[in-house]
Amino acid sequence: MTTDQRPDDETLWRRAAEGDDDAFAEIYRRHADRIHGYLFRRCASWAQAQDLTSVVFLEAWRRRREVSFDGGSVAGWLYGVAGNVLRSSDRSLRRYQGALRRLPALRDEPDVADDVAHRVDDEARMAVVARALERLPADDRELLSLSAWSDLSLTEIAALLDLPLGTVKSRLSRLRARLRDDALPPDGATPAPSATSAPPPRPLGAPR
Amino acid sequence: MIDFDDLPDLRPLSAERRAADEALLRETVRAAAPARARRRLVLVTSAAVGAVLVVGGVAAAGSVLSARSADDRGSARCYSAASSDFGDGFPGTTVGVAVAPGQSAVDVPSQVLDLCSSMWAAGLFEPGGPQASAVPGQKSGTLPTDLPVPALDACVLPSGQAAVFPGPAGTCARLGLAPLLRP
Repeated sequence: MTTDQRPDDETLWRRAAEGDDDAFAEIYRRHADRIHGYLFRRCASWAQAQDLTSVVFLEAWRRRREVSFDGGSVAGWLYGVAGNVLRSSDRSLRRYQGALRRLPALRDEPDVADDVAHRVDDEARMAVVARALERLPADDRELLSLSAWSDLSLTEIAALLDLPLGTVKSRLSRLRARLRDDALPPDGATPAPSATSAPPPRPLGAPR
Repeated sequence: MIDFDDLPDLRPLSAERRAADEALLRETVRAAAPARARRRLVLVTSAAVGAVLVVGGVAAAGSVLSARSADDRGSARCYSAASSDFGDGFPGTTVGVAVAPGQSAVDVPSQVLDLCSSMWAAGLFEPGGPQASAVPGQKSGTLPTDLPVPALDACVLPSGQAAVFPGPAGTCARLGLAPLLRP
């Protein structure tokens, strides 16, 4: 919820449902970057995250009558749509492939080869995490991802996942312990040494 | 242990992609209200006796990129392809409105996006779809109204006439045309 005089998402959504394309464009502008960032963390591909972001908003529009708001914001529901899209990304991409073909693809700018290299490096580093998360049950993966990479509070996550807040907290605690015990070494390799000179990392799912 | 302090920084979507996404979503919202678009078209035609579709145009070329109004308020073009053919043989149709005596003129550029969207929704630009020349004598109810409408970009031709091209936002610039200033 914003503190300025802009209409909240719920108002914009109602206008969009009545055919106001400006209203839906404003919804996109407000939330596209957070959804794009979340999708990249989950899929570890900038190009796919870009396409899936488009799909999330197209899918959100298709399911517009199922929308729910939290404090006037549609952000939580959009993360939920993003989760569904990720679970069936092939089917989602197929459904909207005609529309996606008309959108500009992620380009490798010849003048900024360094940027391309960084992008590839980003994806490689993120893929390690994504592979580790893939070994978790889907529900745990969703919970951890939302708590680490969305800007939702635990209360909002609990509402989104339709779970009691206490359950969310206890499951996160259990998952953090599991990660701390190196039950999920990257690539299934030997667990990383527990003592390093680096400062301790923030565990996945740590409350913000 | 997954080190979340060592994750790559997030990158924003490119401005180009954001603009294209927005254009696609706008189109999607508009396409979901075909009855609304059709109603507007019918309003225009009934208030104005009938839409007169004429294929024709004025040749011109240029590269003006800042948004501007159309000089020609009485007609506009609906292109069926993002073509840089601004001459007489352009792909598409010219939309003009004949006004009944005593009625005020219809400002075509301000409605050109709806008009062209309705034509796409009616299949007028689809291969095998009804031909534009058949529209004036055809009841609107006999035409489809919910066929996919592509992203459309409204521009101003060097001649000063408004023209709507299929394509994402930025199509005008790619064709060297000024975007149409929307009311």
